[in-house]
Amino acid sequence: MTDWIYDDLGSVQVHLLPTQKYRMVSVLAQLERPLERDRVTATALLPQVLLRGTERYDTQGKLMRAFDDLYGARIGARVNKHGDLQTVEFTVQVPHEALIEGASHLFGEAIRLFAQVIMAPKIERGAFREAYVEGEKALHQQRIENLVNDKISYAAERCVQAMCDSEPFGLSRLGYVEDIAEIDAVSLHHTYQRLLEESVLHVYVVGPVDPTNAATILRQELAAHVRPYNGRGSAAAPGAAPEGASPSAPRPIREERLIVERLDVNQGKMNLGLRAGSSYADDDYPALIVYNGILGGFPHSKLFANVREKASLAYYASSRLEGLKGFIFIQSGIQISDFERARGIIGEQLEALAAGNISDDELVYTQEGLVNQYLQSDDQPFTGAVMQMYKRFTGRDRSVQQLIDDVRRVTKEDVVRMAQTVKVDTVYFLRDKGV
Amino acid sequence: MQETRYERLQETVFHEQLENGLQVYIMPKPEYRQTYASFTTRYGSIDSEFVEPDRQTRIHVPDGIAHFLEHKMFEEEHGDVFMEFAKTGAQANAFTTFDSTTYLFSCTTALDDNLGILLDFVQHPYFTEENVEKEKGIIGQEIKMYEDNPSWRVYFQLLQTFYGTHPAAIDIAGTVDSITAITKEDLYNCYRTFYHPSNMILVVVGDVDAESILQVVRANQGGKSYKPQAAIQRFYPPLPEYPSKALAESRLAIAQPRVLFGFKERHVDSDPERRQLREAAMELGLDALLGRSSDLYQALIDEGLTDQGFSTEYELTRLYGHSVFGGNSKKPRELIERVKAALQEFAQSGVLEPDFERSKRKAMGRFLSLLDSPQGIANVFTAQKLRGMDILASLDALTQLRLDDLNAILRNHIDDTQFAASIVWPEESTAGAPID
Repeated sequence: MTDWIYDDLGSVQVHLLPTQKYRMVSVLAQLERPLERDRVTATALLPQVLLRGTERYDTQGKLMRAFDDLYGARIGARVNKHGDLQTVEFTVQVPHEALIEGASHLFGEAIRLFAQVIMAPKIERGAFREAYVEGEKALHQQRIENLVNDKISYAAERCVQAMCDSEPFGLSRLGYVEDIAEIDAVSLHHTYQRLLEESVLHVYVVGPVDPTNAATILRQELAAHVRPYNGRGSAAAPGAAPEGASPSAPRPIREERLIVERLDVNQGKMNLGLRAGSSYADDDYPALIVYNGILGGFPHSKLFANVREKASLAYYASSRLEGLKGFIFIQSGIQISDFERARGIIGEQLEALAAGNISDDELVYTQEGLVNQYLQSDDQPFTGAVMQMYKRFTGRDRSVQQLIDDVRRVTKEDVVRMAQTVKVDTVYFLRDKGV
Repeated sequence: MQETRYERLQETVFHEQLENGLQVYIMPKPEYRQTYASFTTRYGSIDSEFVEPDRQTRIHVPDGIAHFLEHKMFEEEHGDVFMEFAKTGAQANAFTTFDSTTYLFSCTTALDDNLGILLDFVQHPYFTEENVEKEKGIIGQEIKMYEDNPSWRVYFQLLQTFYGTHPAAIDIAGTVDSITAITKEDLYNCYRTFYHPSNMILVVVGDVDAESILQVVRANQGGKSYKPQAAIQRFYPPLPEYPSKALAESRLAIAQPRVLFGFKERHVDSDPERRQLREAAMELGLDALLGRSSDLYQALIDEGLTDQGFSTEYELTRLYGHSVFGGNSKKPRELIERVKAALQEFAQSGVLEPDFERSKRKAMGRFLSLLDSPQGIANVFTAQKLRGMDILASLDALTQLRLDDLNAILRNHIDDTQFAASIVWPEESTAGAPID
């Protein structure tokens, strides 16, 4: 595999990976900041307002037509939550120009337009255009309210919020309806400027580009937007971690809590939040990865085999590792009257892991399944970007190849040792209204 | 082995039809770590009436059985097929659509072994009364999961307005009642009818050598004795001339109404190439009129009628076809009227040249992005093959599309008598305010 090429433009850091493997050039630009109750909603609203228009294309219609003209260059903007950080992520995908006759400047034009979305939005009298902010405020409120519509992700989110009610990680990714009214075109523009001043913009480009040509284009198009950088650490250091990146102090283990929520639903959703004694930065993190895999990462895992295949209680029963935090979340959709039974079976699986009741097949299948996932992640353009982001957040430099080697080295004893640190923190149950 | 080179796309597809009738397609993707393989039968939720080949009797089977069969194929005498894939770390799965059932895996090692597992388990049914009963609990929960999903609910409700009792409106998983009736004999009947190799297609995409894969597949298939099977006789009621009703409504615990509406096709062309042209024209036309860069899309959002999730799609199979518009809306009835009126206007004025060219470029780019996903390209390739079309040639169809043809097709499709709508309202208690 080719190596990343870096270009240090101060507050803009360019990461370039030329490869002929793909037909599309994929671009990701990301700003990172600590998750904070005060700013979470405004920051979440921001990308939507930026997509409303630029200096040059001052309506969303014009802007989207400009992207569509570039062979449907796919522009996206969203906020995300990674551990205790909030990220604002912009993406654009554009076809390899050699595949299309007469499209020789496609990449350069797409980068120019993309950079303008992030750094040259439509401004009026020193603020965003009011109509755009008001329109997006209304839509953002609906976006938050509509989270209840998808019961699987709603239940997962409610479990996280209940478990981490006093931690940044428990903050809602999209923010809060009650914050929206206070936001206006001036305050949001201020939020935007602070974000650009306090955060490094990391730009990742992966795809069939000529390295020299692409580097020149990126430098040209992005240099105009480079601003003074006042954030923590040196702007020149691509690895500089945003404030708040250091892992939060371990919390005292509290009593397991049960949260029941009632809505008009046909199926119950049971979600469990678990805390483990290790996370991405730690040496024994690979054992946690394997632990989660044996518990519920695969169709051969304990949850699928016992909750679904043996007891026929559920269609889905799985677990997910939140590596940056060292949390595991279990999710299952069950008949409402089966709550106690399903809870019991899940508890038995956790006890089995802690007691070392792990077969050789379970361990090996899990390791092979994880290796397969890591290798396949190489077919995603932004896997490398995520690993670098995690390195900035945790200080821990891991590569796909190292993770593969580390996971293969994990022994049953390592998993059992890890299992003994895992504690159920919160059980969340979404059920019907009953009578 | 036959080789087709798509020069413009820089892609190659290898094809062979084996003696037992199985169609094999291989698409090399250099540098990819994963290989994706799918094994598909031309059999889905709409195939509920057919002639069982052994006894030559015409039978009708319960709704949801193709999907039930898909679940049950993963169980063998010696246990769960997932465990066999798990040995090499491969990820296996399956899915059922209206007209197909696909079994698949992706792997990064031991490709030959995994191919063998895939071919063997799909070609070896093992149903018992006990394991059929056990599955009813699992699928029952799958059905309940979809019942709570507003996108799914509003979609199938729309299909019911379009197609009434025609099998195109059957929920793929069936209902809790319909699957209760399924027996192991029903499953064997469906299996014998639809899982003959001559009704199936194998697609492999990855950094592979086509000839060596074909050797593995030939050897595997050569070791199994399949008698030739005559063409399957399937029976479908005629496509209803008009939608069964204009509007269907229901309620769920959601925050905002969800609405879908569209026009069904009154007739479906039997020629696959003309269907491909129609599909390309409709997709392009709808993008030009209602895509994210259109004035109408922006107006719908500015007027507070919907949000950025508003979307359009067009689907055309050999049996039925329809357009679908919609998304979240606080005022679904107003949204329907607004879009319907605009479409009728467009049907008269037609799509304009610059919008047509822009949408065409966009469609080209979106098509190329599909080629970066082994799973995506394999699934679309298979779906199109089963409908008699070649997805890799669709870029040419797109380039050759003329604006007058597009406008004629659009005008033909937007037919008021074929219009229907579906709304899922919030439960009054969830919304916190009365509706309308």
